[in-house]
Amino acid sequence: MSARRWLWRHPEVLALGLSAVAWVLLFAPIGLPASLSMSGMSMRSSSPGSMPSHMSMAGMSGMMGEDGTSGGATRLAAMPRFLPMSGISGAISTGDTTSVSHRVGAGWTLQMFMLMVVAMMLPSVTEPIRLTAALSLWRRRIRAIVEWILGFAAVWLLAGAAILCARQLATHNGLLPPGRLPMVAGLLIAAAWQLTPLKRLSLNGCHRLRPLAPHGPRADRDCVLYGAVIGRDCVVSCGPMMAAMTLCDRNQAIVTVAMTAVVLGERLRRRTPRKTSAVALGLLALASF
Amino acid sequence: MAVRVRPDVYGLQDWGDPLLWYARAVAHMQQRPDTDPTSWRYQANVHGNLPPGQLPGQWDQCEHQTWFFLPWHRAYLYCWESIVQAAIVEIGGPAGWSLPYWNYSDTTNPNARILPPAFRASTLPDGTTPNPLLCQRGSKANSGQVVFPESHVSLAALNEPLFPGAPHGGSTGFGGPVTGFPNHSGAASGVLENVPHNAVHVDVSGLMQDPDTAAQDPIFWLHHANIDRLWTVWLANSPHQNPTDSTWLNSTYSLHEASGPVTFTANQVLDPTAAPLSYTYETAAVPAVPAVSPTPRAMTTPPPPPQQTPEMLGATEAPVSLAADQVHANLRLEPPSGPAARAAPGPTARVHLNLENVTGETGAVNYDVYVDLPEGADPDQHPELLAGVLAPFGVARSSSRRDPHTGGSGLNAAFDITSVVARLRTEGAWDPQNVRVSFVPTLGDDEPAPLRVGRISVYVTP
Repeated sequence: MSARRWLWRHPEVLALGLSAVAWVLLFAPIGLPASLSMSGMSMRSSSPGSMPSHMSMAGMSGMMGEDGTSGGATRLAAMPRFLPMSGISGAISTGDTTSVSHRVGAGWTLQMFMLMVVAMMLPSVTEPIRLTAALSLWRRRIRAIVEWILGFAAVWLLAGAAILCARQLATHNGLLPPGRLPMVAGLLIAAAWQLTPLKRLSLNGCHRLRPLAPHGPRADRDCVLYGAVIGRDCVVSCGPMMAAMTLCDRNQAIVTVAMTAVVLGERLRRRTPRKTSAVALGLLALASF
Repeated sequence: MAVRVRPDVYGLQDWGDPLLWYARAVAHMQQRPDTDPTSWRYQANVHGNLPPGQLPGQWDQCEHQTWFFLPWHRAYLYCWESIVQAAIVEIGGPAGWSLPYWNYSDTTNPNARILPPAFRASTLPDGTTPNPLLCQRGSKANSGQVVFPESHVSLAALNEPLFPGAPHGGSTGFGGPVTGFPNHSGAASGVLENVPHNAVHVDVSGLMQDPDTAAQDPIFWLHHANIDRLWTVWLANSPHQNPTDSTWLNSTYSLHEASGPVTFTANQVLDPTAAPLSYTYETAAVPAVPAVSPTPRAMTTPPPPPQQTPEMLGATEAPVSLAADQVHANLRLEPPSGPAARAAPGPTARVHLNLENVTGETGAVNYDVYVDLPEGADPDQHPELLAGVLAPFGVARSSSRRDPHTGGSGLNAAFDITSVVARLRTEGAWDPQNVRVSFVPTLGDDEPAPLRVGRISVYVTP
């Protein structure tokens, strides 16, 4: 089969490409273009579990407008200032887990969160993305996929803002003690969530098919809504896992890969995945402890 | 191991020995506790899941709307048959019982489309013992009235060239669309699965119209034996072939036979005459002419090249609600601009009508679906415009958020309308700007429960 025919049959590769880019940005030992650097996201606190005091939606919108035209790549050593998870790769190579835990634990931002969502969640929704293309007129396929992803990401953006705000509130109120306890507790809560009926219903919803209008603004609206509906179910299904992720201050690479495996596993399997993934998360919590 | 012969139920006497022992075995199995894997209810729940949410052992495994439909049900039938065989021996009957099949498509038998008499009688031949083969069904089915229109038992599926089908848009294949295992894609049924399988489920009605309860009806097993038989019939017609994909061949089914838990792969059940299955059918000849073919295609039609991508040409803008009367919907098609536009026009191009997101609370009746049926025309006078049968088997379950296959988005169906379009083109009656789709409810016991078709679309596969 030619590459073109393969791409015709697998338009979801667009989403997988985005996910791959996100993984590279998260873990590859490379610098980032300065245009992606958001100096306003730099840390003002280095205590574990704390958030920058300016971490707010208003502050972020201001940051988004900052000049990023200097070009070139930043050094790995500088990455934690604006992309804390990149410190993971440094940790892998240097074994300096303590400093990484400080950087990462302190550095959760909404941009960071969304990068994790793109990396971890998009591969799990390739089926509805492929269907979105299949349900659209040929000339609208790429547009439909982009609209779907925007709808999906918008819901996660709201969820991420809520999770990070809750995290910041907890930090300010002293509910997130330094050390491993928050991460372990978060993982155990996520493991317990796997066994709830709401988790099952939302996981079922991730396989939902939605009728799409073929033409015009209604088609655009339907694609965005389809992505948002799957995004909603995805948030309910995997939100606790992602929330636990924001509490991790060490071994993020392992936790991220393990959680991605859990997410993919339960989407691809129908029977016993929730129990299995609950056990997996429980074991992860034990290992983290 | 000797090869057993599964008999045609209409070749047996009304209460021939195989049916009488079957009835006694059903009664015997029904007395076992539900938690006993050899009980009637446990085995039925391997297919369905009642009450919902309880999943002891191997319940709720049925594979539908997928290319695993045929091999999974073959393994399931074999395991269940071994349990019935053991039960018959246990109550003093003969060894080696074989499951009869119900060949409702047999055009040489005027009674073929009537529920076999043993399943309608209120008592066993002794006149006093309640008949365990009689259960909750549509009153017309149980009264022996002819309830199955010919189009619902059509063997047009035997003309389908390929086993695997497209997950969406194009042909769903003889054996079902390619999906993951276990299937949770909510794809459309394969061609054989839709008709006669789904259509007969709905026409028998009662327990049979819902996958959760269908296997509680003793006729379920004879119905599926016939579907299994049609798989062997299709394969006998060269060059039809089973998939060779390792994902399909190695799919593993955990079941329970008479001697205990057992696992099968699709690869182990491909040849039913080989051990351990060791059975064949009384009649497995290829019918000379399909009983009714809504989309007649010559047996010699070359299969389309694999891996073609279906392209959508148009769809309805709003959902369509179906009711007791005929319902019509119109859609506008665009010229192809993707694979179909790039491909050289050829005889293998196929056009499919898709019904997507079909939802409802019950699937009480089937709907015959026509393309460009003239206003006010009698559908029975226009079989050449019949696109297919919308058989809402399992619509209630697939409309529920609890359904792991669909998450509540409903059923899908795909009908090959290539020959209908070709005929309309030849007659100068085909207008892509105004394609009219008509839904005609077929006779049921009750008023048709409301169904909603989320979208109607047309795809072309080059």
